[in-house]
Amino acid sequence: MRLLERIQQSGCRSVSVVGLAKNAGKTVAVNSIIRQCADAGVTLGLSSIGYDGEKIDVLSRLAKPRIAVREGTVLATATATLTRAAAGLEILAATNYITALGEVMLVRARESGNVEVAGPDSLAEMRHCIAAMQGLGCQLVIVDGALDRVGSAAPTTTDGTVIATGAVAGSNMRRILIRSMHVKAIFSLPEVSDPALRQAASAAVQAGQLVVVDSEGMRELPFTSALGHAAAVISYLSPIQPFSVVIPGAITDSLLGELLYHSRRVKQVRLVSPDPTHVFVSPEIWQRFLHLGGSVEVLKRIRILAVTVNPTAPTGKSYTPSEFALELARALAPLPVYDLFLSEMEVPL
Amino acid sequence: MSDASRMLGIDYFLASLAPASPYGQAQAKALRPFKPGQESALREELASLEHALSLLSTHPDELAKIRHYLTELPDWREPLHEVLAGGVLSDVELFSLKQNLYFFARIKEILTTLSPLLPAKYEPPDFYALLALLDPDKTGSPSFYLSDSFSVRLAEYRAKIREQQRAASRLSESQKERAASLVGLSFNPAGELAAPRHDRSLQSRIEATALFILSRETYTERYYQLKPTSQELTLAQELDRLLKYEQEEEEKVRHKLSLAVKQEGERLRQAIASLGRLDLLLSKALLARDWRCVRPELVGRDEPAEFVMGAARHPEIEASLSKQNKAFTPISISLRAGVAIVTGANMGGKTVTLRTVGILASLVAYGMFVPASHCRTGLFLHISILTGEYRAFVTGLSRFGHEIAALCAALPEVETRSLLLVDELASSTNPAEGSALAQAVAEHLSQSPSICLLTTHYDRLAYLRGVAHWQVVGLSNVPSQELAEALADDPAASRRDLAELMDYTLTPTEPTRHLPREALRVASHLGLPESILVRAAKLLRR
Repeated sequence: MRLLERIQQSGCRSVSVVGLAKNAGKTVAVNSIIRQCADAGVTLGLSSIGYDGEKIDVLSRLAKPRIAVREGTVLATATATLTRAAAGLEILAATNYITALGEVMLVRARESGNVEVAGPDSLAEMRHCIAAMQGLGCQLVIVDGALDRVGSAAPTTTDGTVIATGAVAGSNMRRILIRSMHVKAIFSLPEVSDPALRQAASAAVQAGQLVVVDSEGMRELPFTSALGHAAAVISYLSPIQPFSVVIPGAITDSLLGELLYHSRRVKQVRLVSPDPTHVFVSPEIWQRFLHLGGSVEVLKRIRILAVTVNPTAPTGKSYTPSEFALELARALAPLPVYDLFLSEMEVPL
Repeated sequence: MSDASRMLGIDYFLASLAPASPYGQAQAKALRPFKPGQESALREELASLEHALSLLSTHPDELAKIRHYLTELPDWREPLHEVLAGGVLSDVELFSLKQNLYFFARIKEILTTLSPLLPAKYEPPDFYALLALLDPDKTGSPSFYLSDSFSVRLAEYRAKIREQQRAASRLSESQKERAASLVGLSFNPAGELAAPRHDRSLQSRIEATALFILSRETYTERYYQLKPTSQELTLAQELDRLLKYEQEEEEKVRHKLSLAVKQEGERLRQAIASLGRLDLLLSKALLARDWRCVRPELVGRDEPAEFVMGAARHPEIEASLSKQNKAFTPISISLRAGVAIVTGANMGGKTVTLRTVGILASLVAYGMFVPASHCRTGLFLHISILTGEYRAFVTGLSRFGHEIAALCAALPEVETRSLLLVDELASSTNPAEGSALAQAVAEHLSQSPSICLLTTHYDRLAYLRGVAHWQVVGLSNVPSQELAEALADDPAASRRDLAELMDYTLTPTEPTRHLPREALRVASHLGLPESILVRAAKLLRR
């Protein structure tokens, strides 16, 4: 099945594409979806969020990379990119969202050609832009999520996500596999199922407040971040009962490390995070945390639709394409894996 | 903003205006009070405001729509400035111009349906011709695109470009197909052939065709791309040339459009000014409705100075009281040229009276209605308020020094018709000298053509001839017993009770030898130890 068919079958009306590293093949994935939409007659909306470092060249202040759009595609992109577009663009509306490259405008390509896309800076603005593009008749909206902090949270703005990984994601095959599987695991974290906990956690996240929930009820903690206070948090609690800690900010290695220090208590802990993009932990620490019985649940899960792979890294390192893709497809099954450098069809197992 | 405008609440008024468009916001920022001599202009402004206020109740939906369109207006002052200086507009600027014209037309449409119509100065001119020029395809939509209809040549170039692109893609597809069948491989989505490095014979077969060039190599594969044929190269060159022509032609169209816009520059400026006025007027009307304002009656320049307000409220203080679920007690007073004094209990609202008089007079000067049941005032050259607000770290003066310096600055202003409001005149020095000074100042001011309102605790000001005397009713009607009962242990609760018992009403009073003494009652109510109060009462009787 082709990637677009996969997306259509999922029912997702907006899809973010995020790369695990620079040159993981994100732009190839975006361009492939654009091509497939053109073939299938799907009206496409397109934007990007965050900066890849390469996204804006600091010297020329140009947005990169260039994306080949087809006639009829709607873009949410900053004014500075408009004058440099090779395709004729109709300016439809202004958004009032200001970026370093000017105000974000909603435009429609009247010709096919290469354009730079630089969308809004914040997730809330991106959600509005997605809705605006859907209001302009886009059947599918693609969000190119860059590698920085905001861009990597792009999956929280869309219905579904495509992850781009490849030879750049690790120094050897084993590391690449671990990294990719780890991201899949984190992105697949389950949603909070207990309705009472869910309600408490939503309120706590909204207020940016660290909260402990156990059988005795809910308690606000006197710290803004759990980091450095794990021992204090634990000292608050009864030694037998299970408890949940709602953490509105990031869950990091250091935090899990502190919890692991009280290894016997870990199995009592359930951490609650707003969404998987708030979880920044390394595979090793994560495995130990799980092994000791710890768990993390999220308020909003991420739906991974597919993984694309690039067997080549710009450093020259590369793998035999068919073997590389197959290896990843086996590791990530049942997620469909595509090597869009090789074919538009998914890698058969 | 000056201390005075903050103290009076003018800042609060200006901040509450909140015009919807950048043009209205610019006008609000540039808003200046009317000065004596501008009465007829002020009358016109007040008449417009009354008109707008009545439209708010007769045509609420229309005005809401206008306000919505005003919010949508992109700021076009900067591009207008550039185009008048001979600049060429970008597509985004042309788009935002089209948006402006589009909303100008929508607003104008609604304005013509209002009855009675607003004066012409609130209506933008029409821009049918310019709008038609920016919308050659007559789509009627506010979007902008340099479409083929802008120039015959542009259409020609674009048609040729599309044709060439199709030809080029047909050519490369057929060549790819031929080459692929020749070597028995298929191209990947990037248009490359991949040959495993170990398959030497495949590589030599590919290279033997002389159709390919090596595009990249990895440890495992070699990638080949089709070498462009001379026919393809010619096509590509032709395409490049056409694209350049297209760009040049687009720039010419922008240039032509910019010239057309420049010719309309003056009318665009007018439109921006009219809509700014309209926006500001609507903002005033909305605020006047929210604040339950009435139109003030204007005293002419040649009539004697006069200031009358009935059941007046200070909007800023009222808003902050209402946040604490408290009501503002409306204040009525009537003043003429010369001096009037306000006396009465501490915490009886004397300062609030000064601020309310000041804000009402200021609102009128800003062409605004006033929160009162009625108001009659003229324009003043200056409206000054002198309060004991002591800011030694700014002025380097003591509290007394600060007060005298402010008074020195205000005295010359009073020579021409002004409004001077002084809180606790000369109260920060010893009472003997302070009261003498206060009396001398009051006598001096009573000769002036200005209206001077002073609050004081000094008895000697209360029986000066020619000085009008207003007294806060205060606690004088509250029986002592009730006051004692209200005395709670909790000082915060006492303060609340005090506010409830306090009668803030002002009553005109005959000249009197002795002002009512309520300081001790108030102090006791606020929790000062009994022993101190008893001793003070004893000293007072001596």
